[in-house]
Amino acid sequence: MESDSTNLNLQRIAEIVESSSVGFTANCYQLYESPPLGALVQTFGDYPTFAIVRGISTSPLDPTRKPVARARDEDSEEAVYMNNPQLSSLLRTDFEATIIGHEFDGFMRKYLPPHPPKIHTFVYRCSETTIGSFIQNLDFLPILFSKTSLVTDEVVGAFLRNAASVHADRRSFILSAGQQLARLFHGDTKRLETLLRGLNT
Amino acid sequence: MNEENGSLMGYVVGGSVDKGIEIKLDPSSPIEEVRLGSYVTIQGRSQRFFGMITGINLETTDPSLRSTPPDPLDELVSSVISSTSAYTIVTITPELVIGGDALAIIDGPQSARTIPPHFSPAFQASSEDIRTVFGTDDDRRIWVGNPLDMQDTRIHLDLEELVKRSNGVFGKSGTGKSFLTRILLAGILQKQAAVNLVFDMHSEYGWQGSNEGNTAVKGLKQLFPSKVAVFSLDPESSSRRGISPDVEVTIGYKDIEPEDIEMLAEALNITPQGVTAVYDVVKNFGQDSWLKKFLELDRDGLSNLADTTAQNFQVLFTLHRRLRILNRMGFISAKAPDDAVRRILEYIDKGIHVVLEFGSYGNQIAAYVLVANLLTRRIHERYVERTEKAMGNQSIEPKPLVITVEEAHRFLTPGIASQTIFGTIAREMRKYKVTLLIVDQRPSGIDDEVLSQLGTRFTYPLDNERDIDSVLAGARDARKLKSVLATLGSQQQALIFGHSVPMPVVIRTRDYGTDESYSYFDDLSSSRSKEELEQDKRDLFG
Repeated sequence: MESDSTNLNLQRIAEIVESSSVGFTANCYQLYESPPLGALVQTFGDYPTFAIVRGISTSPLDPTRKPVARARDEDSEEAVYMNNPQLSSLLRTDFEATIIGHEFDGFMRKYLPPHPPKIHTFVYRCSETTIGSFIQNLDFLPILFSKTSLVTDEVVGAFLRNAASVHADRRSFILSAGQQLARLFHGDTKRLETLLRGLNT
Repeated sequence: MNEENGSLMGYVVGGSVDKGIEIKLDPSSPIEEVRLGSYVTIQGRSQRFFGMITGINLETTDPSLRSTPPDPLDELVSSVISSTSAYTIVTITPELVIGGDALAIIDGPQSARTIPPHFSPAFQASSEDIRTVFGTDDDRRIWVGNPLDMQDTRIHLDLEELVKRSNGVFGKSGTGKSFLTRILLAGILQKQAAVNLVFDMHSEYGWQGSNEGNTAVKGLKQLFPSKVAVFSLDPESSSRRGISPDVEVTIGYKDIEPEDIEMLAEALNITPQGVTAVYDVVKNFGQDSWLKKFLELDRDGLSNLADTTAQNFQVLFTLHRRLRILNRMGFISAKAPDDAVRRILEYIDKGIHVVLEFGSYGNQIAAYVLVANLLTRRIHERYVERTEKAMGNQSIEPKPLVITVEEAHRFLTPGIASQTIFGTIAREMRKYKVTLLIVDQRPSGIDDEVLSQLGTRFTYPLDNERDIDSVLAGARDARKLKSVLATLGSQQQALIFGHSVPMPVVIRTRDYGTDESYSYFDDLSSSRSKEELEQDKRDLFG
């Protein structure tokens, strides 16, 4: 399991702390160092799983102890962290991800794995090569818009923008993604238009 | 099976046998190249359907797109939406089925009584498809034009089928009626499908006519000198045009019968009482001399006649005044040197086609109605006699005859069509081997019953709504044909439907008037005449 990731020389970024069939929550190793919204992440194990980051949050380790303002006498925000090194141990950054596929028998499957990843499974950011092969077809788009996925249109936009930037022909990728979206939103053109505008920029 | 298809148009998404098949246009197929009236093939599971585009609709999946369309400047949004949420539905009326079972291969395309399944691919019809459906240039077919968007493909018309029934060429003036008529006449002549008798109102079919730009085009006599005889009612006009007619036609007073006057009632403004009076006058003077004697009467003579026949003097007086116009028609004379009907029949029996030029009388509708009616009635009588005598013995049956009449609504108005000879011919079809080719610009003036008997109708654009309805009356899918008819270009574009074409077809009629266009007829006519020369030689020298 470990060897898979080291061979690929991937960046390990987090560990799963909550898991279900449709998604998981992962705790980042470094405060504020979560993958960006819409990024594609992956796990290894029995069912190597692919997921899209749908939300990032930072909160105190102990939910009963709320952070307080500390910068009244400081010149900059950075200075707060410099002068209070304990902060990075008292705060945590988590991200939630929606599962959109998994690998089985050497093929990428654009549907949910039979079992969700276990707690403490390592989470890696996908390489551009992996993203490239993952977006060769966009069959997973309907999963993103299902009611259980909790993914917002913003996240889909962010994902497609990321994906487009690694695709060889950005323009045709956006167009074919747009047409897939149009099929999903044939009755709601306003929503489609907003989504498409997000892709254009 | 697909290698002979044209380019992909889209896929079947719905439809019905009566309303037509709906195709969602493929985004790769530009909508502006989809035209009403053009042909499409749909590849079903086991057979290929052939149909015509009869509707093009823009549709959206989301009704709100109508009220708030996407920003046209946003290229991505418009290009995504315009191929998915906003799309085009093309309606195709399936007409024929090509291929499939053994019967279809032997008998050629069959009429479509079913529709292809969902998501069958539809293609623009290829030249090969058109050939399969409309046939090729052979012994019985001539090239009449090309489909609108396929200038390299020819549409052929089955003349053997055509002459079996009466046919009509309709369209407002200047659209190309007489050009198509020339092509049809020349085709009938060339393929020897029948013998023509043309009542040539404006003297444009015999020696030469003119096109819109007033340049001369060859008439039948120039194309087939040995096969056509030009008869003239007005030799002076012919000689002014530098033509010597083969026969000058005169009509004797005695040849004019009360029925002829009845036909003229509308043209000469004769009242029904006047028409009744004619019968009494004929009874009084006898058929041979009634008209001459009646026209010679003065006021007193008329008054005496009124007493003898118990007719109202005023009626006779008016009738006399109206009929005096016949005196001014130079071709009517007391002594006709020749029997016009006999001469025409002589030529027709020899297989020589007759064009009767009216010369300056072409402007007098009364002269046209009188002569056309009088001659046709007698020729038809002879044909009936001879066909009945032949009793199916083909060797002595008369040759099939096609009579071309212009301004047909003058002969076939609803009131009189049932009594006139033209109405009779139109109704009895080929029973007595005589059929009509009606050329008219006001089909609404023609009796419905006659129109419905027409085998094949050739229609150029018509302006008047009533004319359009009349032409299409009785046609299958008349409503759809109407939308096709409405989009025809103002010249050279015609809709053909009926007996001699397997399905309705819109054509751009082929050119007539250029050397190239004549050569189409030349080739075959000269080859025929060579054969005939050989035959003549054999006959002469044994």
